Amino acid sequence: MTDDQHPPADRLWLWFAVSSFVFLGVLAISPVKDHFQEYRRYQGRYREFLIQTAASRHDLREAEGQRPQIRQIWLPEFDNRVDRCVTCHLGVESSRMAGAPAPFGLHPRTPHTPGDISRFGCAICHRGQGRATSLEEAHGRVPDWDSPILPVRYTEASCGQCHTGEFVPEASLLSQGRALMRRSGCYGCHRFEGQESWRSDAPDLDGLSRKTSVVWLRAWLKAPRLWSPRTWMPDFHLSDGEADSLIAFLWAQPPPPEAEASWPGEDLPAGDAVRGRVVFGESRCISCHTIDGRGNGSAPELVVIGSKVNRKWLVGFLANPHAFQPGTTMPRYDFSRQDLLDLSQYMMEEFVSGEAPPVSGPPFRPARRAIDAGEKLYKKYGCGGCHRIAGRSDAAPIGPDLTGIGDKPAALLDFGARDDLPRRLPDWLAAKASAPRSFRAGLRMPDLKLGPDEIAAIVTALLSSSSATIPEGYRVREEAASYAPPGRFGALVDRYRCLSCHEIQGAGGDIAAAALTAEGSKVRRDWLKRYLLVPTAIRPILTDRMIPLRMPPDVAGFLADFMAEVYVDNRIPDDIFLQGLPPLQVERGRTLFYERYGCQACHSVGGHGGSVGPFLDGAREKLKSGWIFWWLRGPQQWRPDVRCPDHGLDETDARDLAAFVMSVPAAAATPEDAAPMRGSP
Amino acid sequence: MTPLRSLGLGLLLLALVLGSRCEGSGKGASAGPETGAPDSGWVMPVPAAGYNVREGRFLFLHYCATCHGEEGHGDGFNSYTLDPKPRDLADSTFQAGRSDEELAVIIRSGGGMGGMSTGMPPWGRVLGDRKVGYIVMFLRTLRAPAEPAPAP
Repeated sequence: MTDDQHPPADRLWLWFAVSSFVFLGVLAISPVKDHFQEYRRYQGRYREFLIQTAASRHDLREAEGQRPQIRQIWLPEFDNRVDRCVTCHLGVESSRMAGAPAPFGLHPRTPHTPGDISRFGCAICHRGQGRATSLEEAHGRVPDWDSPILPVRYTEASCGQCHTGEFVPEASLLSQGRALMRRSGCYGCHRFEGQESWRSDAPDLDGLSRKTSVVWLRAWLKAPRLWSPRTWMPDFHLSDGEADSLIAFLWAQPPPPEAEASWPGEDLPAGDAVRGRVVFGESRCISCHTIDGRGNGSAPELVVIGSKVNRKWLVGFLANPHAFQPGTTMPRYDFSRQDLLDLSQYMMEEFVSGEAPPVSGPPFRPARRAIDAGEKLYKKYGCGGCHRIAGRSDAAPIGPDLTGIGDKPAALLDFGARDDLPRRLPDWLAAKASAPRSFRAGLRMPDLKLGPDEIAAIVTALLSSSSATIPEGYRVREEAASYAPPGRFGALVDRYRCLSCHEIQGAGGDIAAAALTAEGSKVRRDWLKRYLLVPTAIRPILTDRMIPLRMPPDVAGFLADFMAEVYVDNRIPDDIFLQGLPPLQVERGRTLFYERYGCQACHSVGGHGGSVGPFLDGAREKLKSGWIFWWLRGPQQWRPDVRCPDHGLDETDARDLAAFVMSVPAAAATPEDAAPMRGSP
Repeated sequence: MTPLRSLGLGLLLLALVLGSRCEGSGKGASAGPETGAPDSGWVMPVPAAGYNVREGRFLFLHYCATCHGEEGHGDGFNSYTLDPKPRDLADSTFQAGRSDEELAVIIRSGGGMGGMSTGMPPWGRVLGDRKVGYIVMFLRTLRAPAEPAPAP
């Protein structure tokens, strides 16, 4: 600086001074910037709030001692993530802050909050930018941040990152969305991680020319919901030409050989429709089907079946549904030939629609060109994703892979013609689900005709598919059980499709009380055989009651023997009253039943009481005393969603109640029991 | 090192820092239109209720509606065999007379404990406090005939 060769020293000094001030100024920028950070404002307000609401001197001192600072949750297991949300959301874990103004309030109660906040952090569920400390940046509402905060109504989607099963407890919207995706056939066209083994319930399409008419098929393809309001078949908005080509292709598919063998070749004599009506009622078709909307609804609507199929097909199908539809959930009833004739006569006469087109039409011989055009359409619309035709393999998913769709950046989404949509993933997904063809002309995705709640549920389920790193220990998997009953029993279970309703060792249907896994520990063998032959109502209010399959007595005996021997749970005692029922215990149990626990609110005894639980008249002929005792000790041991309340009974109370239940005599024969089933063997 | 250069360096630093700040505020401004849809008629499908109420409704339909009815009017199918009849939970006088905690106690401990009907069983062991809390929150949505109905 003292070098003489340079310009005059005072000018140099001036430059030095100016640049020093500038440099100081630059140094000051950072602290000044920090001083004006948003979070300091929030922390200041929080401190004031704490001071105002302090309940004790200790609280007051603590509040006054608060200094502004960045707070964070460090999550080494989750990719070393750091969430600084608690810098402003200061009260999320503090029960004192319940009802405090935003952003200081206590986090609402969920299974993981507020208890697990320091275990999981915030952004794993809410997304956004955990490291940021300004509102806009933290909430991810800035360009170049791909994971904006999830609208609160979809937060349940985040449960699905760890909980991969379909039903997620305390996440009803997510569970509803996942069930909807499975039922509505999304996986027929879209690959989705974890759903590789998904299989549609849609019918096979070979042999349609034997089943229905061209007129019906056209009417159905053009508007499936018109004929069956609850069908899962979506509306493809086919043009008339497309519908005609598809029909030509479908008409050319021959029936499978098994169906050919079961085809009633000869002309069928007329049946007795009056008797057919009785058979129809006895067979409890509405345990699965609906008639004009009434019934369980897991199987197709039957109210226009007479306008849809012809009688020969109906007779053939009812005789052996599995020859026509190998994958159907419909059991094979052991109908006699007369049953079939009468039943089909009744159904063809009763279930016709005035609006539906007539079944009979002129024979239709599709042209080669139309068949080829139809085949192209069949592939184009991915019909083979849900339907099968023997000998063809069209099942390759035609839509984009949806795995990981839940964190696709909005910038990568094709909004097409939808200028009205905010550029956000949830809106895009909702618009795709509600009006898939509105994005561009020529799209193939069908109209699923979902309501707003259903769309919100599906969006939630889609958002749950994310590629966020979840440490292995945090994943809650739900493996689908793949139990197949063995041998002759297995063949009969397949014939009667028991697993369509009943669960055995985790496999099969979903009727809570009807799991057969411990049937041998639960019921008496003789009762079970009688029940298989004549399934009297256990819960008359249920729609989906056990159906009379009309099986031969020796088959019923074999099934009962097998279950009594094999489906036994060692936790459940066999008989706890080997010395007979002690009268004192029975009396004490009666008092407990009626006065202490109010069991009659749900259970009926001697014609008095509620109809939620099974009737208990004659329960001793059905149930084993050990089962009753074990059940009463905690009904939810059986299945967590059982509706029988857990009173926390001790052994004495459970034993006395069981004694009372075992003492209840059978009611006088009800009309249902008394009337022998017509046509049964 | 020339003074010009040091000045230049200083200004450059200043510009960088200020620039990044300006960019920051720019980001904030651009977030505006993202928060709401433009005037397009697009209505985001929203579930009819928030999380706790939704869970409460789910549980209510599973455990309670058989007696209390789907709308809580005490008209579930099992109500007809009960004496006394289940209460109309949607009744505003009833609701006003009970605190959240009182409702939770009845659900947890049953009617018998509070001198009411044993027909109302205790659900505390099956549901636990949190789920009982969801149900109470759902019950509170039943009382409001005056409030606007949830968006269709």
